Order: sequence, then structure tokens, then C-alpha cells
Amino acid sequence: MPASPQQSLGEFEQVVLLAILRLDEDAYGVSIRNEIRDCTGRNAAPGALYNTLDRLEDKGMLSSRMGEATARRGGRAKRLYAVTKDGVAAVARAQRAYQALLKDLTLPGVAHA
Amino acid sequence: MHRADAAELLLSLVTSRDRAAAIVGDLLEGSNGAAGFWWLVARTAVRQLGRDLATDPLGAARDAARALMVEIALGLLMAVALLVSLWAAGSVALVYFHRELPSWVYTVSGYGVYLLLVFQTGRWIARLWPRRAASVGVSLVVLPRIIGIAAPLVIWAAALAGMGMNVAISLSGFSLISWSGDVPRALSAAGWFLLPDSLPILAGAVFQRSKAYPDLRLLPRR
Repeated sequence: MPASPQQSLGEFEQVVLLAILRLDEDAYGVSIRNEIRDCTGRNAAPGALYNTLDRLEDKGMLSSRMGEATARRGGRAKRLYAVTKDGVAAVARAQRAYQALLKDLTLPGVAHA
Repeated sequence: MHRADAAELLLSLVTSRDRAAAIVGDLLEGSNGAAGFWWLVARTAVRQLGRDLATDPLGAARDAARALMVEIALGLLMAVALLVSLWAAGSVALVYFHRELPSWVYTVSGYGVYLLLVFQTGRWIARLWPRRAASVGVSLVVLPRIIGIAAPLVIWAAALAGMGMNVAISLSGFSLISWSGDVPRALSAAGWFLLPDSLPILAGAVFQRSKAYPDLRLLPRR
């Protein structure tokens, strides 16, 4: 399903899209979870991650293809994800909205927002 | 059967085969030990099931209603076949052995046919909705219970408003539906048969889905 121009993104959806963008060619379940943990300290539940990946794919913000199988994975192929143009546009829009909200804002107890 | 194959089969009740395989590969890569692996499989399966039910609850209820109709039709056919078989067996026992069939034969064959009926319904669900077999199966277990609790609640409320009524439908003296305003009894009845209803549906769905995995054996070879 192609993304509509005004389709909004939830917070975790943005985290997942950004993690996939950072991983570039090697974005699959395990690496995405690890990237999220390393960057945010958040330990994403696998079920929540797969639901989000499916939802983003349904929205047309992600595409996926099967990768290589390894013995460590019991001979099972990886499902590799890539962010589509619509996904990049949506995450950029969401980040601009955050930036606009943060502009000229001083958060209590934080030196610089 | 290897644990990964079993996990893949289980997850194939809530998602497509290739996705189930990729998820199991991820969980094998990311888990420590069998207990950790199964914990992740269970959590993932429950999440996927919850998503299916939350995103399209009306669709799940509609499909469960269809499955319920099929279950009722199949149940009537199987009941007739059982009655004819028992009548024939009883006649043979009476004519050749001059004794009646023991009562446990009726009880065991009745429960056996009931379990077979629910198992077959699970198979039918998995054949029709392979990626959503678990959500339709859960809905099929829940839907009659919702009706079975809602109807007595309505009757109870109607009785409070001075409109006393009971609903009873029977076939040849065999009670099919009997609703009164007895809500505690309805709640207790909803709890009964929860496992005998849900486990054979799950077993039937797993059996049906296992056919998509020719290398997978549900039972070990001798």
C-alpha cells in the first residue's frame, strides 16, 4: 500500500525507520533490534518490532527481500528491510515537526535542547 | 522434530511461512538456550495474534461466525453418523450377544466425535485462512461464549423490567440452546469446555499447516 502524503508516524515507527536507515544494506530483525538498543538503550520486544515492520511495510514505507541463510540461523533466510522514498519523506517530516516544536524551547533541567 | 521447526510451524498460524521462517532465524540468532528461545517465540506469537485481533476484530468475528456455521453443519452430520453407528452396533450386540452396549461406549464415542469435530474445524480454518488461523480459532472459541453470556444478561435485564422469558431450542428432545436469566450459570458454562474447545482447534490447525512443510514430522519416526 503506498503511503499517503500526510500519513503520520508513531514514535517507535520513527525509531525503527531511523535504525534501518543507519544499517543500510544489513537491516534485518536482529540487527535492527541491536541498533535500537545501542542507540537508544531500549530493548525492543521482538513481537513489537515485527508488528511495526509489518505495519510500515503495509503503509508502503518499507520494502523487504529475502537475504542469505546461515547455519547459525538454522538455515533460515534473513528478511532484509529497506526504507522507501515514502518512508524517508515521512521520517523527515516527523523529525522536522519535532525540531519545530523544540525550537526556542528550553527544557527544564536540560542545558540545551 | 527440531525446536526451530516446531516454532516455525507455530508462528505460521499467525503470519506467512516465509515471515515465520525469518522470525525463527532471528530468534535462533538472538536467543540464549532453549528456554529463552521458547520465551521469545511465545511472546512473538502472542503479539502477532494480538495485532491480528486488534487490527481487524470484525473480520475475525465474521470469519469465526463462518467457521461456527461450518462446525454446526459438520456436527449435525457427524451426530447423525454417530447415532446410526451406535444404533447398528447396539442392534448387533442385542441380536448376536443378547446384551446391550455398555454405557461407556456412548460416552466415549460421544466425546470422541466431539473432539474430532473441533479438530476438523481447526483444520478447515487453517486451510481457509492459513496466516490468520490462530486469530480466527481464538475468535471461534470466544464468539459462542460471548453470545452465551450476553443472551442470559439480556434475559436477566428483561426480567428486571418485568418481561420474564426463557429461550429453549431442542431437537428430538436433545437440548441445543437453553437460555435463562441465570448469569452465574452462563459464566460457569462459558468456562467449561474452554480447553476441550481450544486445544483440538489448535491441534487441527497445526496439523493442517504442517502439510505445508514436507520435511517436518509431527511424530518421530520409529
